[in-house]
Amino acid sequence: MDHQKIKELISSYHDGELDEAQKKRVERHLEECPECRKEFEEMGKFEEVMSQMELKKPQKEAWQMYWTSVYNRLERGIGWILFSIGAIILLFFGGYKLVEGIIQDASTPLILKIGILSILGGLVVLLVSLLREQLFVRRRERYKEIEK
Amino acid sequence: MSEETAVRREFLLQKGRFVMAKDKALSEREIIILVKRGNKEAYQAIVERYMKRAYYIALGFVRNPQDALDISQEAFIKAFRRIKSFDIERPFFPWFYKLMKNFCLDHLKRRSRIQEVPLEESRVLKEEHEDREMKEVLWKGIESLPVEQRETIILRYFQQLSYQEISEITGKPVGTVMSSLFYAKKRLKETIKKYLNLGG
Repeated sequence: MDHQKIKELISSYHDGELDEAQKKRVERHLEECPECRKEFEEMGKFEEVMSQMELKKPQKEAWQMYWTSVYNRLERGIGWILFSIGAIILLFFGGYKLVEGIIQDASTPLILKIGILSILGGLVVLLVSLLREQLFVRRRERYKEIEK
Repeated sequence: MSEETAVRREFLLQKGRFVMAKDKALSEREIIILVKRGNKEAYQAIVERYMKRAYYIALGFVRNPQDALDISQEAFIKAFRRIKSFDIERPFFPWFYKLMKNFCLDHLKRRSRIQEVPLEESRVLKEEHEDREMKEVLWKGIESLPVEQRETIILRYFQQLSYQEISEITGKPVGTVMSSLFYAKKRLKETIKKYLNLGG
């Protein structure tokens, strides 16, 4: 008799997942096998402990406010997306105009032009680097097999 | 006008709580069709149908009630934004569960970098004293299980789901669920052996 298989069935027996034939098979085996009978009793005690484990209920208001909270966050999310798109457009336009102005302004000393352009160039490199790091982290995601 | 179209039209003309009142008239599939069109009132029906299940599953993973609320709500928000990619022929919850599980695992990963959360926060112990320590050990055991075993324990014991239901939610065959649960229980039983006076 395969004790390992019977032990798996004992686990399912306590979960109420066996059909009548399987239950009878387990019961017959238990009558003649002290090892599996011990496993059956241990599993019974374990199930008793597990049945006493409870998760904390939230306050009633949490359920009343649940949808409102989801709805508000959904709306805010759309607001943030629109705000971010606007901010990016303004930032790029402002940056372009700034660079254009600096290059075309003959009165600005060359060294100052180089300094300002260097700062702007550095900012772009840093931004790209941060974005690339984020993408790299996502590619090496531990749980990437799980649908996002 | 077909009956279904009439129901939808009536539904669209109404707002708020009406969704729940008419919930029985509309199948989940019909409600999702409305959600796919951007109808937030219809989505309320979906959220209110599954919010408790979502919260308790998230709590099983992260153990902190406030984090579980936040995570489950975030998952509903993400699900709404991704609803266009959802296959209308499939049930909503297993799809949603995958999104939420990912939020939970991300949260745990971040939390492990920061600090341990006090064990007391997430659950109520029926007997406050004598078996307190054993349950603490058991919770730590649950936390240390591989993700697949841990989720079957959460769904089985804290959602009281059958093997078939766990299989539908996780997308794993019933046999795998059965085996996962068996090994998880075996491991947990071992961690609390001394408290159960099991010997051996």
